[in-house]
Amino acid sequence: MPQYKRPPITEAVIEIRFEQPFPRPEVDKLQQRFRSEYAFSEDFIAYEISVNPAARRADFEEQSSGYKLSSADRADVLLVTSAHVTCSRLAPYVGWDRFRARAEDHWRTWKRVTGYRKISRIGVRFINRIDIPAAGGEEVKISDYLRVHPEAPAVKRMVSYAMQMAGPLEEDDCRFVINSSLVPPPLVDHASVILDIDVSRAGDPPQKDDEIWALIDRIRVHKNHIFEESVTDKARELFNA
Amino acid sequence: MSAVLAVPTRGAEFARAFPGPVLSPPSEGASDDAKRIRDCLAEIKNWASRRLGSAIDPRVLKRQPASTTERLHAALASAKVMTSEVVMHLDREWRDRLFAQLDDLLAVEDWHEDDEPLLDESFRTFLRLILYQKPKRRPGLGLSHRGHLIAAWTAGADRLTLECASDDTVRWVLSCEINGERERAAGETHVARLPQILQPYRPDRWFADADQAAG
Repeated sequence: MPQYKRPPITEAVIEIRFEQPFPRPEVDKLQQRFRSEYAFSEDFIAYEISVNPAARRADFEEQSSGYKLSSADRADVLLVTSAHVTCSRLAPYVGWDRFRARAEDHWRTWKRVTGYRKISRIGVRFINRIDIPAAGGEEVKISDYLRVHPEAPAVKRMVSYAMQMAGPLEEDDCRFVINSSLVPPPLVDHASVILDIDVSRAGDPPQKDDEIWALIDRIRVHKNHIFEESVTDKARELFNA
Repeated sequence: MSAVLAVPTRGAEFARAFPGPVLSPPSEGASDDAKRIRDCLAEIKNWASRRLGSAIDPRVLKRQPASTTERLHAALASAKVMTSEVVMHLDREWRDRLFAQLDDLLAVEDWHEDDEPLLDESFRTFLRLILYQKPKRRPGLGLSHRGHLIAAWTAGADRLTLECASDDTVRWVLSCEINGERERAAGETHVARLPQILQPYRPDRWFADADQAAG
């Protein structure tokens, strides 16, 4: 994959999920172990609300709880939860080698604290935002920048869209999820489009460290391939401007 | 032929269309298919409304910060995360210096209890202003008691102050010498209109590099 001068990555994620959730004392122990490496620690609860209108009832189900640890500049994030370990890097992206090294280092520490736990899913996710110049209300054709976009002959102008595609990859027994949507542009006189690519393996993921990281490296190659196939040269020009 | 985007990129229209990605609900239906589509749209909305650049799921419960220290930390964190969303358009040095300024600005030890910490909407306007105006020289930063970020540029006795409010609104005050006369002016405008507003006052005196300005 080419090295872009201004990669559009807003977040890179490596996530390992476990088959069984951890008991809370173990999550606290992990937080204590990682605390010194991060300037900030915040509690959080991930939850699901289901509404049953027929029964006039809403249920609140806690999915996982834990800590969000962040570096002083808030760009490096580690989620320590009862269900998964998630290493995340917000922009500016520092490159795969540095990001992966931090994630692997945390994984090794994690295992020293908890011992072996069965892994249920391994995933790599990159969220990209493409900021397209649109000075003076100039019309933007998404197909000039993205090869993944909604299209309908009857539609000439669009003010919003959100789409998802998911499916199997032919290699490594992986699955991809591509999300794309229009989002509020952070720049004046621009239109911004998200290209969010997640590649994961949930069926029988490897359990040994060297196999886990070899898979994560291959997943990244698959992710890069999807990205490069999804953008046009005009988009690449923006990443190198 | 593929469709073109017809989205507002500035002005009040922009503020109305966003801050959330907008999905248009179709007319109501009674079939199972209609229900499936409704559920599907809800899922998409859930994903799409997720704050960009955040490592947290949309369904994460965040505690309301209570103490002054917590509020300041939350405001600082939010500003840094918002900066990270556009950092690909900023020089590394700009980002580092901005973070240092924010650290000073929101330092707990210098804080007055009655003041409002930096508001997200104000900081968003500031970032959009900086990325649109692209000043070479960094501004000094201050905070109004309402939590609005104030950016100030000084060149000799000439001074430009911009107070960043919500929705790209900027209140500007300037004092500068024109043809040997000191002129003072003030007003309120949109980020995108600011270059035209400042043009008669030769804004390069504030925004250009020191060397360029001197030349």
